[in-house]
Amino acid sequence: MIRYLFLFLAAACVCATALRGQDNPLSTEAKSDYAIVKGFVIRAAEKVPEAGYAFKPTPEVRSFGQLIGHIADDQYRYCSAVKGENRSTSFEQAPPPKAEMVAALKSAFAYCDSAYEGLLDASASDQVMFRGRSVPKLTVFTLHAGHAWEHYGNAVVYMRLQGIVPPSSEKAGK
Amino acid sequence: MKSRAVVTLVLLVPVLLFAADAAAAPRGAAGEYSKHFAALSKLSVAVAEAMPPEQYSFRPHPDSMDFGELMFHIATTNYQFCAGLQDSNPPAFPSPADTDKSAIVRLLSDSFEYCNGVISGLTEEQMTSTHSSPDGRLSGREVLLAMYVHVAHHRGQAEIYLRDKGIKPPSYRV
Repeated sequence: MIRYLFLFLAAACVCATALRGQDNPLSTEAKSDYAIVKGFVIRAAEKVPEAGYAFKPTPEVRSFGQLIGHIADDQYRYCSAVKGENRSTSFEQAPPPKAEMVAALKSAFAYCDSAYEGLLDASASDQVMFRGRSVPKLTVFTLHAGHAWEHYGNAVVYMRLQGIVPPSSEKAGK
Repeated sequence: MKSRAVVTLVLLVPVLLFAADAAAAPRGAAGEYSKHFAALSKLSVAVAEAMPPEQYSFRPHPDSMDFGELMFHIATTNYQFCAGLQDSNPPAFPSPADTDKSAIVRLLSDSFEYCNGVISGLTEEQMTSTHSSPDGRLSGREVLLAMYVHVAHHRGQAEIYLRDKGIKPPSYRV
């Protein structure tokens, strides 16, 4: 009898642990959204030809290369806050040629990948310092996602103005 | 006696595991979100106001939305996300063709005001339960993230529309 009860106890613990694994809707959604925007940004950076990296819609704004550099720099800005590290880059100021920029962008996202991988709902409300104030980790991730989507939105128009279909419209075929 | 203790343990362990998770769950997520959503709202309406009425029909490419359609799309999608959070239907929208700048700016502003009201009144139950949304069935928390990045993405496009017309977009705020 006791042996069966111990077996049941072990099974109950396994089930409870498995259910806890599914019980991370906040972090799962944040990770999922991040994966989508990361894919779009990388594909945009790959899709624009080398000559298009110097393109600016108007003289006052970033070139496409600087825009991609800015997105790369901000991966470190946001994710270093979550990781409690001090990392920064300056690709926006001096974007390298396309091949190097794309590689640097992928490295920057890889840096953020590890921050997202460590996110669980249970730690989402842990406070971290960001822009001089203490905020929940999840807030930094939300702002990070918003920032990436906003600049991907910029990139969409840069691409359209050069006659290039943005990655997010490829399925629509136009 | 030993059997009773084991039975008690069997019943108690899963409960304690879930209780530990519940205690660690983030609290006040909508409260923190509200602050950033308010900033998102103000900037988006400011972007809509910055474009002159005669340029609301401007589109950078034949396959792109024009500026008015872009703002209209943000507004109506806000309503759909937020009505969904309350499991209700969004209001009837005017036809985009029948709207001028002032009507679109008002619609956009009203959509954010509507959403602010919904978000500030969200219960924990509404945050965790699933709702219909333009992105399919999502939990309340997922809806908030999806709406945030949706606005940011399209506003990012609108900012380059403004630049293309020689207009400096309103300053970024979070």
